[in-house]
Amino acid sequence: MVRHAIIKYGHFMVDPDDMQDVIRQQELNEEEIERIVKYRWMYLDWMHKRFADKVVKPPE
Amino acid sequence: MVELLSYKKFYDEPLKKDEPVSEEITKDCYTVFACRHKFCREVCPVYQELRNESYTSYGFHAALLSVSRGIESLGNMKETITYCLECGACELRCPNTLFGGDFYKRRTTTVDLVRKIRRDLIAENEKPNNWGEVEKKIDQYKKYYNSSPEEIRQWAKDLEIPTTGDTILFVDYFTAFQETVTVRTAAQILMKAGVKFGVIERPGLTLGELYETNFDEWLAHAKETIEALKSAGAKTVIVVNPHEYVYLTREYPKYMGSLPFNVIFITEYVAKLIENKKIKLTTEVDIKATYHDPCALNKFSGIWESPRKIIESIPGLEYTDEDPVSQWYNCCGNGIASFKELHPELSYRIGTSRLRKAADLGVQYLLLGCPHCKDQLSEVQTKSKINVEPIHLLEIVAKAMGLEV
Amino acid sequence: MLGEFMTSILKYGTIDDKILEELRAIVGDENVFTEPHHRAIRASVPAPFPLHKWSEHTPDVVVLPGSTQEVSEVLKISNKYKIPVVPRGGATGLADGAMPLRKGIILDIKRMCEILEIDEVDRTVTVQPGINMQELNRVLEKLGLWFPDDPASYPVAVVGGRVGTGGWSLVGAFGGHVPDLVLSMEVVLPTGDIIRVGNGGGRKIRKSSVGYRLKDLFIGHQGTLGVVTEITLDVFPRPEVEFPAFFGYNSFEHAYENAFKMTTSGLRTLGAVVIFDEEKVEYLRRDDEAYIPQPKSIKSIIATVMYGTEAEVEGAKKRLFEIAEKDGAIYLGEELSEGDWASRHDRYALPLHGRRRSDWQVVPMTWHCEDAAINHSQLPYVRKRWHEIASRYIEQYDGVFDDWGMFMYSNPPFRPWGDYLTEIDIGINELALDEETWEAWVNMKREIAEVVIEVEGSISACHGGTREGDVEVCVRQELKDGQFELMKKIKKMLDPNNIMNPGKYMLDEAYQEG
Repeated sequence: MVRHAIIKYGHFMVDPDDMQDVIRQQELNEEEIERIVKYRWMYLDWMHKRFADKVVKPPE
Repeated sequence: MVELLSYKKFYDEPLKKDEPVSEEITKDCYTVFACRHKFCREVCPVYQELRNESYTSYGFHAALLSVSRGIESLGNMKETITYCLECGACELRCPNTLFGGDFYKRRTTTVDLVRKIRRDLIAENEKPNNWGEVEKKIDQYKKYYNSSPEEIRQWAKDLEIPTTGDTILFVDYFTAFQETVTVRTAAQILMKAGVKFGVIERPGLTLGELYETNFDEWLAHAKETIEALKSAGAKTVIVVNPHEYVYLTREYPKYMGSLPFNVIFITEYVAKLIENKKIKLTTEVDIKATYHDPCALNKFSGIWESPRKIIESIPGLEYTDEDPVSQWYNCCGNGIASFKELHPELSYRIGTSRLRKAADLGVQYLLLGCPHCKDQLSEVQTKSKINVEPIHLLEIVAKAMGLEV
Repeated sequence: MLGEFMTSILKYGTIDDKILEELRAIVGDENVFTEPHHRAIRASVPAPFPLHKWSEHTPDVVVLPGSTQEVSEVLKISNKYKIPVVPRGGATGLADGAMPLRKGIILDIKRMCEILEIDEVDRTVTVQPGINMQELNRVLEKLGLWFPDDPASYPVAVVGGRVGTGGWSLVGAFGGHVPDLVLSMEVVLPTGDIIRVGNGGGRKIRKSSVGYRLKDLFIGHQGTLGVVTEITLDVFPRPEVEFPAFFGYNSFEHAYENAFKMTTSGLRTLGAVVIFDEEKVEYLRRDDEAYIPQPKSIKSIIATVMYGTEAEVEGAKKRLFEIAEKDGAIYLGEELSEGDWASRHDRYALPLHGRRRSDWQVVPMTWHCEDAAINHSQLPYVRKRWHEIASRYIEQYDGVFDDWGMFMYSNPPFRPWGDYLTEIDIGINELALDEETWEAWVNMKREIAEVVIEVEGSISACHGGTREGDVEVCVRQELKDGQFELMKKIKKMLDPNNIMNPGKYMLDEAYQEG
């Protein structure tokens, strides 16, 4: 039984029903979630820079 | 309205020495232990100095898990748990936060856990070495709190600031009594820009040391602060001290719900004033400088753009940036709460490492966004003689505005 | 079982106050820890850990040395009193190299983290073993240099541990792996003697025919032969450009065929070609924002990355796209390719990715990563067998084990063809482990390892064959043609009292015979 992720605040999120029995969700508001997403993209951009001066784009 | 809510209510249930660790706490610790990749480690400024993995997010969670399994007793963690600046780097870098926190609506919350363990240990009368210094500091701040209104406003005695208004500049006791230059500079910048604002007469204590020792007392003070701001008519509260900004935007809403006013950090406010030409930066400031991201802004609040915008608008200033992600690894060494009182030498080491990094960039000045960083790094600079001068970026703004501060 | 048997024939000394005093005199009071939590947190590495038997693996004392001399002194003490010593580097290894089997001293070398010399002319860097690669590269990048070792634990692993496990890099097809990058080392032998091993006698020489290749003995020995205290490494020019490209396929077989063409294309800038099998793509669709929205027709994926000069990569990327598109692969776009490549260290093994199959509840699990070396020709067979094995155990122990799919990385050193680091990722809920489930795990592990022997692969491309379940298969089957016999002789010669990481690789047997 594979349930689908839901979309909330414009992002994919776990179906809250899947976090009832073993481990539960915490209070985490939209701003905090947005902050995590923003930090992730910053981090990924930073990680590219650690390995080369630039990332080249795919061929046309 | 800025409100960054991350709250695990089950942390409110105290840990006790002779009682089992709750299942929820056990699973919480296991979720970090299960990773064991320890991306929390190199990013930690304490770890960078000591290279001891006991003093990392992994170490704290795994240690408490070992308590839950009967391998260790809670009281033995009393020294270990003090080796945390509460800078937030580990819990942000943790893949459970950075790569899954948004999806699962569950993230790693090391700082909350550290605070909780410290508080619960004090309640069990398990006090770490040097604890007297922390008690002294709390007493000192209680004296500040019980001072006369004139003493509390000594920093602004010639500035004629009202005690009410739509816009309130929030001044905590650290900036009112100790690092007064920052808040005075902020007030003068706002006045010159034509901003009408007040300063409340007597806020409650916001002290981190109190937060992690006596939660009820800290909360009573928090309520008093909110009441005072409300009754002063605050619709917008401008905050100069990043630590206070974290309390107002992250901690108070956990226990008191959404606050009835907007909270804005000074660099966000000043950057807007510059953008709207309410502040004119006309005087050249010919210095070479870099910027230190305060942990409370960079790692907790998502504020790193406005300080850079301000710096880049200063005429004459030659700026070398160290990007905010690289600065997750940095801290001035002060920490958010009791770290410096408990570990003065280690605090100094972390501070010297930070100043050396700035010196390596070949700059003369290290611009700061936090009065605690300024207090700490000025002390470190005086002692270490590292050739970089720490200065709050508001002081540079004032200079560029032609203000005599 | 083996543990009990061996403990009865090997007598180790007990760490008493006198020995603790001697250790403190060597490294300083502040670098010796005896409180249980300091020891307990150093019992495990990221490999599945028998949490129900935590105390059995908890060392007696933690020692943090600061210099080669201190390491040497600690080993002399250990020899004198016959105390087991387990070196611990980053402790991010996915085998059990740094997990103590006989308690004793944990020698945590992370304090030794200095960069001793950067030679910009002869292109080497000399470091202490406790330095992390990301930190090393932070310093090297300012000089236009790069140390190309890039494991999943890149942001936190340390060079000493990389050497001790014979580590493998995600971009090894371009930049080589740890054994290819070590030029020479200073090693403290179990007796406390300090030696230097290299290519011949030169500290910074890359190829020599002088003497035996002793350097290789101290790469991948899992802390059984000594402690490396200084390492001279090869450094590369920092790449001008990076080019990650991810492609989608309608089946594993489709991706597998295309991977062969990519890996044998002769493109020298290819750093990695990674196949994600169908189970892996399904797993990623659980919770990964990049994969959830991918069309259902995409069932398997190949991730590629190129590094090099802009001139080389600009040409090579066109050729790569021709190879992919000719086979009907679908390019998955810049956002996924760039984002996912940059998340390669972090994203694939979060504890909350675990699921209980019966009701799809999230169960925090740790990550077991198989890392066999399997030749291209055998990949489909191994894939089929491994998933069958995993399914059988998951059916029986739902909520304890979970199949997270397979990755196949084609990057032998400096060439992308031939054998693949082949991993099946198994989620394990260690909180639920007990004697029965742990035994089930070890049996699953053994079955997985036996498939590797059947196809003439090697059980571990990079972590080491030291895990419970693996180790018997390694020693009795993979190394059976005289290799293990020789290992025992070497072990006994270098470590007469069996103090270095005793029990690891079943090398206790060397002492049993004599």
